[in-house]
Amino acid sequence: MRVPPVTVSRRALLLATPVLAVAACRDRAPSRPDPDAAAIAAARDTERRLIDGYDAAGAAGVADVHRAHLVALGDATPSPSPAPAPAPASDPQLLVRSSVAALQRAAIGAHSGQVAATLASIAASHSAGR
Amino acid sequence: MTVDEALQAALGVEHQAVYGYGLAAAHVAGRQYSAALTALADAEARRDRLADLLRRRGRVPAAAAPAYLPPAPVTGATSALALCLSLEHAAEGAAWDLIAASSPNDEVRTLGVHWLGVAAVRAAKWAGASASAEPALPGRPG
Repeated sequence: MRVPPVTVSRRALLLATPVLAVAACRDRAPSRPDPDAAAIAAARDTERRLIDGYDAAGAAGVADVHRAHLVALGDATPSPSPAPAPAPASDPQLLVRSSVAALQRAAIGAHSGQVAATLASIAASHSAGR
Repeated sequence: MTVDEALQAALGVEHQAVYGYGLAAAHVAGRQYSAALTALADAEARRDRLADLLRRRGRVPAAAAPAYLPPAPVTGATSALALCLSLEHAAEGAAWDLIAASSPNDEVRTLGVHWLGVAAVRAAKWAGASASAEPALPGRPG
């Protein structure tokens, strides 16, 4: 009897984003507003507040998780925060927990599958308490 | 990856999870045993929902294999917990793919988003003291 492996071989895709590549090659395409821009901006704002809150609390390791989230949201230079900075979270753990539902809603409604997966992954990380 | 391909891959991951959690549960006790049985029941429910989604899309759901070989031999509680963690990591990846392949506000997207959250929470619990080493972005490829 052939015994297939339990693991865990996942896809070898998604590293490339052909949709973006196609869009970049398009000549004189009319520029349209990104329908996911508001969701991305809101998620970035939350991550910046968390970074500042955890930095202020001396929890550098946890702040680094949120720096990774910010980079995934397209902010290539998450530290130092650009001015004007959002107010840091006074209770970052509370903000982590309370952000989950909004991030999941944004993921469900996102037009781009990649944006949706990124927002859902950040929500999942926050759900796990990080 | 199309939605149908992502659904079939997710179904395959849940077939593995059902088998793997059954195997792991035989090697743990107490709260870990209860947690493994809860995860097993969740995987069975999700497997059935994924199969139903595929049928409604006119596809034939892939059947489970008779048995699966774990990534490492399961000989006791430690290796059983490692298997549980690997099952949730596989679930995170399958959920990411499902989300990325799906359309806004549809049933597949919603299933994937909630599944990713459940898998990340469960992975952190199985990782225990190593939870801080879990990836910042659960399920992301690469």
